[in-house]
Amino acid sequence: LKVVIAGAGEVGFNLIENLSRENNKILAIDTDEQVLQRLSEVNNVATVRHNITDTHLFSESFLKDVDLFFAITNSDETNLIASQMAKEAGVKKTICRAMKISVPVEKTDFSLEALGVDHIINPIEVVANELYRLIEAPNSVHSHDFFKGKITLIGFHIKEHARIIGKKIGYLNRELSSRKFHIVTFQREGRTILPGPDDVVKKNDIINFICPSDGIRELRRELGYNRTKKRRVFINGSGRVGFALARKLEDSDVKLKIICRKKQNCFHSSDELSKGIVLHMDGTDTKGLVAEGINGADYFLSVTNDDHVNMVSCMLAGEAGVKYTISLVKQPEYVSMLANHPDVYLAISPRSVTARYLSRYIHGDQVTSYSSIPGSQLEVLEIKINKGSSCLNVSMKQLKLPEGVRIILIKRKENWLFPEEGDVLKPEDQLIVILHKMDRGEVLRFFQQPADEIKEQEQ
Amino acid sequence: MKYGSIFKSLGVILLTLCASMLIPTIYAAFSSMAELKAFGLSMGITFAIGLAMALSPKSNLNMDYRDGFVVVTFGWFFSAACGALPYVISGSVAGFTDGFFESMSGFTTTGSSIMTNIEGLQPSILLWRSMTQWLGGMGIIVLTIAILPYLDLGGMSIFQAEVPGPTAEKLTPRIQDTAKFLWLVYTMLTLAQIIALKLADMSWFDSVNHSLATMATGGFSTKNASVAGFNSPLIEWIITFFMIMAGVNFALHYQFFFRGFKPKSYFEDTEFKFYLFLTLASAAVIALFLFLGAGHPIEKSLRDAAFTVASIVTTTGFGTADYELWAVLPQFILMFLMLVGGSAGSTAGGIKTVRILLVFKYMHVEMLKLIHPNLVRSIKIRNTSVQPKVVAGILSFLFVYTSVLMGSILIVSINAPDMLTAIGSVIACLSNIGPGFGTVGPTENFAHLSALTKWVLSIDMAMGRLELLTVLVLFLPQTWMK
Repeated sequence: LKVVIAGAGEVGFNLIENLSRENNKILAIDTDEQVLQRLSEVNNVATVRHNITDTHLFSESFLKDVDLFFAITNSDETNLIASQMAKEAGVKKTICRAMKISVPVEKTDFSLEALGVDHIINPIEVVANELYRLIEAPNSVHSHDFFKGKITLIGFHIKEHARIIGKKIGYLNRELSSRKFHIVTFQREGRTILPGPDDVVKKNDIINFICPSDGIRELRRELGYNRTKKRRVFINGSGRVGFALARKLEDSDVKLKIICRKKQNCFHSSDELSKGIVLHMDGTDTKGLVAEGINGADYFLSVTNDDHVNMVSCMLAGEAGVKYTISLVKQPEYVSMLANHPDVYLAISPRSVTARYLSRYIHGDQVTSYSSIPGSQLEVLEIKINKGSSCLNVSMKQLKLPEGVRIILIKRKENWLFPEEGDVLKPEDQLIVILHKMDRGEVLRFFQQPADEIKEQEQ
Repeated sequence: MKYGSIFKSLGVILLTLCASMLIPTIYAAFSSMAELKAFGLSMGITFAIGLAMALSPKSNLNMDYRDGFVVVTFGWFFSAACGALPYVISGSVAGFTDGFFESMSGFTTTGSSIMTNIEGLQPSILLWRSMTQWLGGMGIIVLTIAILPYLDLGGMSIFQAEVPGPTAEKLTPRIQDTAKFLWLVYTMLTLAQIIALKLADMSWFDSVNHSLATMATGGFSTKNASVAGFNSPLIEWIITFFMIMAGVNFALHYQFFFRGFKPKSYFEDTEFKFYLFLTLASAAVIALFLFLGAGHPIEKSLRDAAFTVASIVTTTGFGTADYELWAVLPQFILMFLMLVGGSAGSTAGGIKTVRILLVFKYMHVEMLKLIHPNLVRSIKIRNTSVQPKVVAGILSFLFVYTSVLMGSILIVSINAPDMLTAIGSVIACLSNIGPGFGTVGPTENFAHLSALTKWVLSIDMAMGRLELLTVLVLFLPQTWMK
């Protein structure tokens, strides 16, 4: 793919790192010579120093046949204008980063077509969503939504009291299928494998499940993470991320306290939110936090604009006994630094979250959603089958999938099913497929080949 | 001060008043010559004063808030003075003090009366009495919904949210539209009640008079025994229903009638729910007392309790039962309801339920702050937060209300027959109810009080009606300075 990245800030840098591993032709545009220098030193990227809203830029020849155009500078307006100009110059797909346009994360297909923007992503919402997930599904390792938020791939750490320990995967999948849960992979001693039916679940495995998004709570119960007590959550900072997160948590079963140092933000939050207690205080004021019951809290999320405040307040909260302290840090160096800190459960860089989110767009039209399984070379793709593909109307048993590739789930209209040997693929079906990264090209060709042949014949 | 414009506005008000006097005048022409003369003379005087004022040259500058306060306050006082003329000239009342009291009681939709024998009065005088209430109610609706919110008196700007349509920027063009629609609703409800009462076998004359007095939450009746004089449960239930309607914010009526008859227009409103709860709960408790305590039959207990509670909470003041004969708790419930009053934006008086509601919420937040010293919590109504300055306005309003109440009680007690009368009469007038407690209860009237008391009570009626601060602001020297 030919990809142009306009704006080589932290998000761009992270995105390029993700993309350049995969044999894409990348061109980065920025006005800052130094940034571009650093970029080209580390990665295999072509760079151009240019103003991205300059009309001359789009008449340049190197913008011909661009597949993807990322407008991800820090300015919403610049991004919107650049997207529109790029679209007019013939770019196939534009992706625009905009902080002030509120787009629910689940709606990945939201677009502003008239403006020439195919996808809009709001980094604030993306980060808030990530944090929301961590609160909603504690003990989960990671999660990813497919089919516009209807199906979730979610990884759980199996603790000793889980009921499924000692049972065979084949048996479990049969038993769980009535509830639409399915075991996809499991990770043991650092190695991730696609399990066979005779593999047995052990303690400390990390197991990835596919389940309906509204069934996560039930799945957690099944795994023995039974919690009837209301979780108590502190959010430090009610800026845009904090506010977006609090908004999401309004419907959740949590007791929420929002701490903010800016009085105006406090008023805004208390005006807009119907739930939660808004406190005007410093997130590092240990005495005050203790008075507000930090000792009994389950979560402490620090999402202010200041990295140092976030780090320190999380450490203090961790010291006070909060188990899940999550700190937002922008400096990438801090993330690794905090990774081993005993009082900080997790450090999240909003930019790398955004970059990870953005990389889902680099797979062309056929892949509608994408997630890699952390710590492995496996990835999970949501794929559309092309019309007239050769794999249609062939039973699962006869389908000649490449080695190590599995179809996990078939979505047929509004229903979904876990494929069995006799099932047959039909047109308009959508699939969730798990595969090794290296096999992606082959798999995609497998599902779309005949369509390509038709094209060739036409030419 | 733009005296020219102020005079002009007051002149227009008086000319309108003069025009509306035409109706009882025509009525008198067919019934009694003496009253015709009285009305003719009153119209002449009102017309002369009104014209003289209306002809005064307009000021160069536009009117501002200060002029608005002057027009509103003096508008009510001038109307009351001119409206008193028919009573005085026809000899229906003993003197100008009594006439002014009766007329002020009408225009402020209070319903306190100094008439000892209502049934002995000429029908044209009775009609004029009811009409003053209806006209007063009309003025109040526009005042509280279309004008006061923009002046932000005593937290009045909270009603702005409830007003359909206009925003502060588009004040002038939209106020007239809003007023027109609200008057239409007011008139429609009045007509509906006239028809309902007529169907319940009331005479046309009585049903018109009672409807005019009900929708204005006034309470002037044509019978000595008020509504009890008809001896008809059906009539009492009909009036109960319309009294409760009259105590609802007219903006909600507007939404209901002009936005597709959806019940949610009412039931999504926090104040309406609170008002309804207050009314029903009080009525239930009182009915229980009447049924179990006093041993009344169940239907009569319910009817008397519902009617009296509706009559008191909406500050109408019609009577079917003498609540002074009831147990102590029902009487106290009624006294509290007198202070609370109906919804904001209705023709009811009193402190208004929305203010009470907000003060309760404010108290709740203040208590929470004891537990969470750093708490930031906005007070919300209908899921939108209320500005702190509005809450402050309401608190100060409550204080002013209490102060005026106490001050008036002090003056009235100079020559009041007993304590209860002093307290009861002031509450009844300041909250625009009508009957009070003691010697001014539902079966008595205000005729026996001294002239000083009557003047104080007249002024209380006007102050209570105009949300106190509108009147009090005129005592600030700054209002009159350049």
